[in-house]
Amino acid sequence: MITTPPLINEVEVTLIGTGGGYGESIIIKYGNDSWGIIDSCINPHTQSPLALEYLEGIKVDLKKINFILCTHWHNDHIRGLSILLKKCPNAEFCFARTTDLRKFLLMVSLDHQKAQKGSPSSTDEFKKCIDALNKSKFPNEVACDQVIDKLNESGIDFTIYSLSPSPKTCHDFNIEISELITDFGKRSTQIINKSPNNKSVALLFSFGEYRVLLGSDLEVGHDPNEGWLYILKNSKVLDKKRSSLFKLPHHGSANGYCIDIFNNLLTKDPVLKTTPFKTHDLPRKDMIKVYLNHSNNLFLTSYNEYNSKPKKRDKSLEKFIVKSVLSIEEIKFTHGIIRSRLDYTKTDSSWNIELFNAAIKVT
Amino acid sequence: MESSKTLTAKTGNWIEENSLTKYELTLNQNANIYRKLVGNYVNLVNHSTLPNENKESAKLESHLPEFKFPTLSNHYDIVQKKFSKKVQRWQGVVTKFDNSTFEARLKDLTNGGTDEIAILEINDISPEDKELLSVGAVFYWSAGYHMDNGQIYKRSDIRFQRLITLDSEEFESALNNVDILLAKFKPRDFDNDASLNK
Amino acid sequence: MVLERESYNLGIVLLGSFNPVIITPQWLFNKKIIRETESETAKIELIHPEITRFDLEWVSVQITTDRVEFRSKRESDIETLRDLVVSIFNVLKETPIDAFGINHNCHFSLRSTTEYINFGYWLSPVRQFDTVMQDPRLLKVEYVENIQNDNSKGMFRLTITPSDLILDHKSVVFSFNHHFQNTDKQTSSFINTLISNWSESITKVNSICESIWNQAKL
Repeated sequence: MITTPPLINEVEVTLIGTGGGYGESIIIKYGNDSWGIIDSCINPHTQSPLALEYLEGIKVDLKKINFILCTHWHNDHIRGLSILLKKCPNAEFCFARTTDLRKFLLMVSLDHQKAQKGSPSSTDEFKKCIDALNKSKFPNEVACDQVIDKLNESGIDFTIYSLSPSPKTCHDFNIEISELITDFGKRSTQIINKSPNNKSVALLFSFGEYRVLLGSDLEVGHDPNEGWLYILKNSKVLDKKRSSLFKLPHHGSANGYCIDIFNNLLTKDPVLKTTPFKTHDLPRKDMIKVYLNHSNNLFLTSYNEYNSKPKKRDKSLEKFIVKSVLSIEEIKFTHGIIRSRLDYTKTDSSWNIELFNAAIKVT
Repeated sequence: MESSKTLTAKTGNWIEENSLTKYELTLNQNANIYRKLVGNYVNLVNHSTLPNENKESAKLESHLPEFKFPTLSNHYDIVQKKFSKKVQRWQGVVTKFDNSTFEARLKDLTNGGTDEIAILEINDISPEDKELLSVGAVFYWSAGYHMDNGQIYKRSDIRFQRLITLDSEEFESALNNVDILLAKFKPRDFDNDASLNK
Repeated sequence: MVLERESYNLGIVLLGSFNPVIITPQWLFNKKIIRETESETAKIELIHPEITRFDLEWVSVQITTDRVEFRSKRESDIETLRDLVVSIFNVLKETPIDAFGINHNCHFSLRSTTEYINFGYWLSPVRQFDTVMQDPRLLKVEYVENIQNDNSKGMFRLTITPSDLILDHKSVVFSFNHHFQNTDKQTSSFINTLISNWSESITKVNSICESIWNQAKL
């Protein structure tokens, strides 16, 4: 049952998906009763954060949420995060570091000024997160090879490390912010995040002999100083132990695939999970085949059936709307949850996978 | 102290009385009073012992044209024959474009809920709005049925958002806000921040 | 039974201190708030220090020294109307604004004259006057919210009358006035309040209409 809480001796890594277009969220449990939330997504009909719904469903004490990580500053990835921050009084707010924080905050501040005139904002969720910050706790700016949280319980070390962004990515982001600020003179435009995926925060979750790799949206790229290429060559926190669970980066796209990750960082037949992005047709069928070659345990939060239909409306309006444009399709909301639990007190545990709502195992 | 009901009535819809007629009457009355005053002053000056320059200014004033107010309809036309019947509205953000089409993510303003992605023709954009087309540009699109003098017709409109850009005062306000936001972060040595690792 | 709305339009009214000769179609174009063709084809009725009135294709504007009213002509243009008002008062930053209202007009047609009359009977116990009035009917009913302290959300006033748009003797209009005090008289506060309450205002109107039709006994 979805509302069954984990046992004290269980670690949990739960992926919540929306079908693409409304974000995704990961919830992890470590130690006896410590929790972390990575990114946030909402139900577009109710606007409520899905991570909160899930946690309340399994009756987690929200005071036990130790950290909330924002892997991207753009609204698309963190809708509802500020509500989570307000509800979780002890959570440390973590986000990808930028070399020039003042400049980044100026961009957020300018975006907020524009929003106050009715222009759509791209950073209002991030701004709300900052506004919600508890005076007694500073946010944690995260770059590669940092510890996000660490505790020792039941004689086991639980550590969550950030693997990215790389120093070069932080530096390049600085330049991008300058360009975005220059563009603030333009009327009525929303900030479009040109290269969001480089800056996203991938994580390594280490507990005892086990490892979990959470790929976020980090792409491989061509620059050895960025993305997965940088991590594979330079990471100080990856050790020889391999991960038995991998949240595939960037919706299982080819851009997020690197064979070296499978060869060097993952166990044989790992649990692979990801959220689809329907409108971009991710993951593509050819990539699904590639992943199935690596593992029989491939899971998606929903089936990636490409839908080119418009939203259901009054028939007469619908006909006219379809004729007025070249194409129109709904970004469907498909709620799926892939929950993975493992008994960390045993050395030979395997993941127990549960699928809820639209989530599926791919065969 | 006015009751809230009276106060809201003032911002309420529809001018409760025929205020245009009231204003027209007021203006006419004022104009007549003004003419009378000018006339009296001119007479006074011409027959007075005021210095010459004042007599000159009085003469100039006597040449002021008569006010002729346009004939305005007494009846404020609240019975429009032009209105929307069934309309779907969106707010769109342009995600990409080329020579002939543009793609946008659409937020449903009529029903809320899920978003949509559409590809529209650039030729459907008003020539005066084309200069506003760029990635990230915000526009409104509506499609539906309208009534115009008894005739029902279908109409699809694209209109790019035109908001005033931030002025220097607002930029300054944004800059000032940065310090307030920055105060929520751990102090950094901005000049010597070489290390990115804990 | 929820009736489908026949027509919806919206207006914004401001109370304060204004100079009617400033806001003209030419001025709006000069500030790039409207298109050039719109300013050229504007129907100007009067521009005078006491009152200015003009129509664009999609909005009617009337400005006096203490009141400004913008009224959309079509539902499709209500967001553009909001942007127009925001842009004007972003330029005219020093304008003292005492209060403003967002006015929604929702017109509904009942299916028959009988339903229309029964709707009146449901809204108000008109029949109790049967003995002293000949065939009494309801002409107008008005409701006001009694929120005392929280001005940030504004206050609703709803008036239900026969429709002045659909003259078929069986249509009604729900006129909503969503009123806000602008206590510090600053244009920035007005703009903030307008934008932050815009969606909620429309949502509340829709839910009140739905609630009325769900409960009405026709």
